[in-house]
Amino acid sequence: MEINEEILINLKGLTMKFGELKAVNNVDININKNEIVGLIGPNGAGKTTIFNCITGLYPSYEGSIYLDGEDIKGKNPWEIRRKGITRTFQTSRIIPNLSVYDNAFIGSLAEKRGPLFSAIFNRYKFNKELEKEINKVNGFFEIFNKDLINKGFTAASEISQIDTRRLEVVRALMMEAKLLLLDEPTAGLTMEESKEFIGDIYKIKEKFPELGTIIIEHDMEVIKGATKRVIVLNYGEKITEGSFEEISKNDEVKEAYLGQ
Amino acid sequence: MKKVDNIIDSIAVLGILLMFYRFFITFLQIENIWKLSILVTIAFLVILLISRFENIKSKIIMSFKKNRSLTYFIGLLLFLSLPFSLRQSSYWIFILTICWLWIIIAQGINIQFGSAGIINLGAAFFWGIGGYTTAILASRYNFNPLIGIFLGGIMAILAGLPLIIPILKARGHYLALVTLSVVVAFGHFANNIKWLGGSQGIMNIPSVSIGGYNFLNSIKIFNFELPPISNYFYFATLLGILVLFVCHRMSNSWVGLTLNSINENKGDIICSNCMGINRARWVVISFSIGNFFIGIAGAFFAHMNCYVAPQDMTFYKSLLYLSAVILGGMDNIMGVTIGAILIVILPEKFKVLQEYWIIIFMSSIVLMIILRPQGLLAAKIRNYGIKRQ
Amino acid sequence: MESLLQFTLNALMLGSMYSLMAVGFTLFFGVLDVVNFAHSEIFMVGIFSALASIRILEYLGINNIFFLLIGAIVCSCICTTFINIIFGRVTIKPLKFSPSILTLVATLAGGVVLRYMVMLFFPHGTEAHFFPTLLPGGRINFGKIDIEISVLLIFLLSIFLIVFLKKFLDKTKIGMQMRAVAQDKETASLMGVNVDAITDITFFIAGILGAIGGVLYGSYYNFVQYNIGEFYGPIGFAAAVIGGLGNIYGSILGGYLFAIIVTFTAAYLPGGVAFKFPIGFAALIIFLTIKPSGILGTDRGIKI
Repeated sequence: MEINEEILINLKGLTMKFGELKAVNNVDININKNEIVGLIGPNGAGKTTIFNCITGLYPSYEGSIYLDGEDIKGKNPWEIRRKGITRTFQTSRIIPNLSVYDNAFIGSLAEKRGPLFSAIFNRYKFNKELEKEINKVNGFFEIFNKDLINKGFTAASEISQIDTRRLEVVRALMMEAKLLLLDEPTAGLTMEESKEFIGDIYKIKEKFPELGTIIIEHDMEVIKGATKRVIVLNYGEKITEGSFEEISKNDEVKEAYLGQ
Repeated sequence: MKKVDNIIDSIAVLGILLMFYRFFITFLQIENIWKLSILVTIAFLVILLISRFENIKSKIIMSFKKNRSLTYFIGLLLFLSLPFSLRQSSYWIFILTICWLWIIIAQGINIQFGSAGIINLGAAFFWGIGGYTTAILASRYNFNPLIGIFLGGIMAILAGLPLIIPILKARGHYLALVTLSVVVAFGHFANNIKWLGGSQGIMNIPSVSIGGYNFLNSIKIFNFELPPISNYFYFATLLGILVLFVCHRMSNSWVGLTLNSINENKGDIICSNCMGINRARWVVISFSIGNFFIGIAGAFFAHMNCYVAPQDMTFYKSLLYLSAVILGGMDNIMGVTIGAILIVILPEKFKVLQEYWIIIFMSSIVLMIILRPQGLLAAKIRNYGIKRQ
Repeated sequence: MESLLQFTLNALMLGSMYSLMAVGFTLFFGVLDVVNFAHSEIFMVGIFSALASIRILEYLGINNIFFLLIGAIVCSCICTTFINIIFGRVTIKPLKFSPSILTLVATLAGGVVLRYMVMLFFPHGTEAHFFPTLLPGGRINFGKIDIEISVLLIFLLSIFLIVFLKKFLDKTKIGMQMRAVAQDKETASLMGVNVDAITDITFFIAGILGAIGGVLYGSYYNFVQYNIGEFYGPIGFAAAVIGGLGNIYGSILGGYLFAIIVTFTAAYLPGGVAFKFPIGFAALIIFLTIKPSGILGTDRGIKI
């Protein structure tokens, strides 16, 4: 297929069926490099399902998904991560009994070379890696919330809700990524915190200029503030896309949400 | 002033270690159940008393912390001199060796279950594989027992590999069932196969000998004569320290974290998958390392006792190995070690409760799971050995 | 041809016992989403409480086989269900919210406790005990086929019990509640179902299965020992999984399938006697790999 240099990820005719139910029906989406795109729609519209198809959790979809020109259908989620697609989850999947640092470190375990050997026989190498990772995490914490640096070795269950969300984003970005999928990142946050989060997204943008981002959100303030383009889904189908102003004037969109 | 303080600390550490050593030897050697109970009660009260007085307790803990190397050095010296103090009661040297074997097995299970969440109800099977392998190689093909022990571990790894596919596909209870069926099936099998010696097992397994020195000789050193079992004691100590060392390093590194992340309960399988971790690879690694330790312990046992038989490969044995981890502390190296020691020594020491020990241990498992599922010594937050800021 | 018949009849007998055991496991998994490894020990408790009641009845002068049979079943049911409900309250209820693997281990350990309690507290617990034949003797002829009446009875009774259980679950109000809990514990309790009571009822039913199964087992095999559960537990579970954990009819299927595998391996494979159970368990492992939900089970997908 023709490779458009600008297109990071291309979903063509994506259809996901659960039995007879079409959760996603014939959706076409293009995301460019360094774009921040919003993905909205009423509950059950298929947004998280699309994320799950992209990340390989639902491998049996119809249609195609190309990342940087490469077909990623049928690949395992861990292979897809290594190709550069990373994500956060609707329900923050932070492991409460591990430390804050450990949760973040999980994000880059996959790129470690020979961890077993160095753990036992080459402690020098391991310590160097550890230092590098700690600095990486602290670098993120500097941007988001300096306090977290002191909490590095405390249990992740003890940090606030917004910090938990931030930690998930840090974990997602610990290893090189081309595409970041944020699934309702401000769910459970207060209005103040959500506003802060928009700022966080811009900070990520600054740190990773080439990163493409798709954000699923219900909070329209966040969509308005953080995204340049919005894709609207309803009942598994894409009903329109455009800037926030454009789509908020669209009748179909209004109906989809009013019909809620 | 500081110098005097330091000297006092060191003396305190030395004194406490010596006292503990004396207590331990006496504990092992007392036969009379009443004297034993009195000793244990006194010890218990002393510990209780000390923990009440916060300043004495913290002073003691501080002294040990300041004198880490001294503690390890003296501790090791005292430990190595155990066969000297126990040379009249070689049975206890034997039991202490068994303790080491259980510690090694428990560490193996801890890697599989405590860290990675893979429940291995077939541990007794892998133990048996180790034992049978070295038994056959050493007694029928004249392999050097040391090589036999190593190969016993390797065979345990190989025996575990076919199970990887069902293990990867199965979750939770199904997983337990896979390992359970293996040990049950092999038990039936081994009882009926002549080549494996049937229900009698294989006997007359040669003892270990290193470069001509046979472990059946007593050790004559410093005018003392230590019973032959001491050879196995020292060998087990060496293996045990190696295993603990390896486990400690693995746990406090990316390996430990990866295993935790793929753990069904302690981690998050979907999340680790999406973060690029290949669960299958790490399941194989942790399962194999664990089985290697278990297999080596089984092989060692075969040489020490000169026999291996199917009745030691029951599913109940597997459960007992598992309980060292559940009771002692999941994913906690020290906890698991203590659990293993308790499970070996308590029934031996309090023989009067013979059959009741099974009920005691099993009920303890149930109680522990209900009241304190993390075990006696809960897993600590991993800090990679970095001192707290 | 005659041997084939004989082997088939053996398989029939084993299958009846295995499926009765399997249905207990499947009940726990299906309703409470829990693996209760102690169920085989409850079966053993059923046997021994029946034995105890038989001895008491005989001591009281009752010698009529029929009355002994009924008496054994009744007393055993009372005893076994009582013990089972307590067991459930101690091991399963407190672990409602814990990872299922811990419940499995807890029932495993608890089962061993039951086993050794019997060994220690039943008079001469370590020895094998004689259990009188309470089923009518004699044989029946169906043309060329010659079956012992007791085998036929056990076969019919086991099928009847299992089908009765299925009808109970399908048609009664309590059964409906049990199925609701099986579907979704939380929603069921929100809809007013008393999950704790359902737990008790499940253990009650399992107790009855254990009691009746125990009496049948004892009557047929005549020698019973405290460690029977250790042998039958894994088999019962294997049969339940092969047939489909959670599916009541699956336990019939699984039970007979396992019995057939075991009998015919021993009969027709050279040296098969050594292999018969390993092959049965190998079949189990294959199922767990390819289709863990068993033959009749439904695939439960992983929720994200």
